Amino acid sequence: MSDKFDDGALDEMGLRARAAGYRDGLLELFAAGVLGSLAVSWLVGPGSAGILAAMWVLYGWKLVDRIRERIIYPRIGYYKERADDSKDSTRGMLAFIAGSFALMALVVIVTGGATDAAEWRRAAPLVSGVTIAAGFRYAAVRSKMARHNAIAAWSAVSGGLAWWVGTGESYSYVGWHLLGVAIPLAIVGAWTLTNFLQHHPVADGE
Amino acid sequence: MSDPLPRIEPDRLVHEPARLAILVILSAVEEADFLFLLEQTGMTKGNLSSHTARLEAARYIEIEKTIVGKTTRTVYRLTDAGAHALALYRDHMTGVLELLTSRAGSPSNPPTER
Repeated sequence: MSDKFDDGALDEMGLRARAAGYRDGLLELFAAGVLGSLAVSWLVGPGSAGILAAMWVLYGWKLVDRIRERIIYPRIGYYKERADDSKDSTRGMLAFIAGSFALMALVVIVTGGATDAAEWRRAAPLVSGVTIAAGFRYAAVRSKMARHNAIAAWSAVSGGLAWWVGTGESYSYVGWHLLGVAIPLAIVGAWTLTNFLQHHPVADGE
Repeated sequence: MSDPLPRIEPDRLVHEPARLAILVILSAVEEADFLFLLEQTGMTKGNLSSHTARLEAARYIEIEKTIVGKTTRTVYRLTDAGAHALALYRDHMTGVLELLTSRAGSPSNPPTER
């Protein structure tokens, strides 16, 4: 610890503490679970897969909390993230989601298929692509971690690819897109968690 | 010759680097336990305990002991007074640094060659 006052270093210290919740890879694993179960329910159809997706969305984070309590906090300590109640974040997320729908409409209109339902279905992965990208871009702003920006970029690009190769016969390409994001997320999350556990042994008590 | 520098009297409690680090970390999270502060600051347990005790005595932080499973968890939170003291200190020090920088660059105080 330096004796000299350095406002930038203090900001860095605060940022490191704030980003602690992103170091273990559980966010990626949770997101992979949500997107993966949504993809399966999208591809297989609602029913049991839909229930699985709903359960994961509703209770997945509680599971993450339990895992943190059992294996993360004994290693790096307990912390509770400060809630982000800034209106800018909410506005930014809403703008991103509205923008994703606007992008879909623009693409459909520019390609001359505004009256063709198949063209709207074909462009649907653009919405999922940009919306997931918005979520991970937000995570990147908070965590300052490059991997979150990379996931955001991959989501947007893969959404574009799904639109490009899609036929519009059904919404299945949304499911394939979600799966295409969920699988790398699961790999990144598992790799990050393994690394984290290797480098952070359980600490002595207080 | 330029005017003498104003007398600088930062909050001594916050000015100490270890306590400043604790306050900055607690300002970034809602709450954190002893182990988290230990990991983030790199202090020894004894050092951390004594600094948090001083901050608690000044009511800059509050401490709560809870039982989780079979272990005790000591949770620390920044109080409004602590947040105010930290903000004031940072403003104060930033102002002092700006003043020093502007003086170093003024014609009456040309930078010296080393």
